Order: sequence, then C-alpha cells, then structure tokens
Amino acid sequence: MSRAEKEPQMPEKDKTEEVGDLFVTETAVTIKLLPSNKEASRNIRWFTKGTVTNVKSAAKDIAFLIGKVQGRSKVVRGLTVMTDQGAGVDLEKTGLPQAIAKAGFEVLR
Amino acid sequence: MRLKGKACLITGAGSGMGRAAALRFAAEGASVAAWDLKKETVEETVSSIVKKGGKAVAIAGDVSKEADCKRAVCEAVDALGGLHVLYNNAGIFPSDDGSVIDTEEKVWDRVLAVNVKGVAFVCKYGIPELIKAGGGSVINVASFVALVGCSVPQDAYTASKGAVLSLTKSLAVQYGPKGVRSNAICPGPIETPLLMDWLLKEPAEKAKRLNRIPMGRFGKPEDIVNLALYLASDESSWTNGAALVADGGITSNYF
Repeated sequence: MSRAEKEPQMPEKDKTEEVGDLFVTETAVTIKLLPSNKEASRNIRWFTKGTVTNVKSAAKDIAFLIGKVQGRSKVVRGLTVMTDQGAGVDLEKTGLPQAIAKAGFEVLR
Repeated sequence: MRLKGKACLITGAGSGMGRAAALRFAAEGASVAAWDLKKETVEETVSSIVKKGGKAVAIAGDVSKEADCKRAVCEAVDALGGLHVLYNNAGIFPSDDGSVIDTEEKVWDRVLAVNVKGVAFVCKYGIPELIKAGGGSVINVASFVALVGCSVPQDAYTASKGAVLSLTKSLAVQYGPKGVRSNAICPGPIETPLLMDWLLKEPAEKAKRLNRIPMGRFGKPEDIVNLALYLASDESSWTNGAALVADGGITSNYF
C-alpha cells in the first residue's frame, strides 16, 4: 500500500477565480487581483519607451508575479493591461500581449 | 495643457479608470493626489508621473470612513498646495449584489458606504478647499443605471448611483454660487477586468449586451477619462449639475 493510500488526503480547497490588472512602467510591473485586491510588484528592466525589449524576461517576471499573488487558493483567469502611457495605447505595439501569452495567461479585451 | 496649474484628488486611482485618469490628468499638466485603499497600489502610478516631470502624491485610505477622507484631503492639500478638482471615481459592485429580494443587508451597507458615503465625505472635506482655491470642479462617477432600469439587477449599486446623481445636483445648486461646479458622469458598461472576465466566460451574455449598444462595443476607460478631463478643465466652466452620459447610446435605445 502506498503512502498516499494509507494517509487520509486533505480535501482540496476550492479555488476562487480572479482577474488580474497588470500595470507596467519602465521600472516595475504591478499586479492587482480582483475581486480580492491582493497585489504584488516587481522591479523590471525590460520595458523601455513603451515597448517590451525582452519577451522572455517579461514572461518570466509576469509568471512569477502572478504565481506569487494567486498562491494555492486563487486562479487568475485573465489580465487587463495598462502601461505608464495610460489608457488608449495600442497594446499590440507594446509587445505585452506576446509576453503575457508566453507566461501562460490571456489578455482580456 | 488643459489642466495646467490644477491640483486634482482622484479616488480609486489604483486601477482602471482612476489610474487612467491620474496619468492623463498629469499629462495635461495637473498635479495629482492618487488615492486608493493601499498606498502600494498607487505608488507605481505616482512614480511614473513623477519620472515624466509631473507632480503627484500617493494617498491610502478607505473612502467609506469619514476620518480617512478628512486625512486624505489634508494630505492632498499639504502635498499639492491646494485643491481644484475632486474626482470621485472609487466605487464597488460586488457580485452578491442582486435583486432587492435577494440582497443581504451587509451588501447594502458596504455598497452604500463606499459609493454614497465615500462621495459625500470626500465632498465634505474637499469642497471647502475648492472654495478656498477660488473655485473648482467636483466630478462624481454615477452610472447609466441611475437613469434607466436594468433587467440584470444590482439593486444596491443602482440605488447608490441614483443617490450619487441626486447628491451631485444638490451640490451644484449649493456651491455653484461659490465657483464650485458639480457634475456626474454616467458611464455605460466599461471594459473593466471583472466585466471582461465575466463576458469571456459567457459569450451569449456578451452578444446580448453588445446588441443593446448602438455603438457596437463596450466602453473603454479612456472614453470616461476624456469626459472627466473636460469636466476638470476650465472648458466646462458653465457646465454645472449635469449628468453626462457616456454609454454608446444604450439609454437612447428602445429596442
């Protein structure tokens, strides 16, 4: 009998679905989850003049940050995105959707 | 620059329309007090404004608490040297807010505390500062549901936005003679994170809603920010007590 069969399993906690609000500046990326309002920030060096300069690093940082805020109890379903240029920026030209997709998430729009 | 020399306090500036407004107002020459529940939420916004040569300060507090509103207005005045614009953007619409028959008392209390008392308290301490500055503009975010019924009810939210609209008109009449204009923006559904997520999960619901919007799309944060920018600027110097609708034509649509 395996150890898993011998020991009673903890019931899996229900995961709550959240949406992420990503804010990207030249020096930091911030994620805020809704509706829980949980948030985290990370310093970055891959966003210059409104463009992602290193998609791989961006994806890594975004994935790390989301992993940090969602923990075991939350699942992030998708992200809205804003940069320090404000609303109305053509996101496709920033390279952020590609980085977010590489991180395994989806931009909500 | 349309807001040069103006000091603006923006609530709910940590995300969405509030953050977009903070960045846009600053780009138009305003100094900005960006307020949200947690300071960390607005610090990046403030930092990016400052890096571009603007003036901004991060303020933390709960708009539903009078003491927080009093302190926040003091902090904004201290940091910016006065106030010319109050942009009451913060608001909530919890998922457990439904029909009046189903909605629990605690939901009503929370929604009315944030959406109505929050606006009232910010105005209570902010309007005297606007008068001291020689006049200014109060911009309250109401909703299109303050004007028409919605068959997918969120009754606490709807009632709260009706209250915001009525309060705005009362403020317009009281303080207009002292140079303070008060106006409400009534947005239709805006592409916020929660709305977009829900609509992606429910394509049929998305299609049903889009079908009701003559412009054929949901609103974007910048649609509302552009209206707020007009109200914050001197361009709106004779606009007072108005309910400005930005809803893609929903409230004009019978069928």
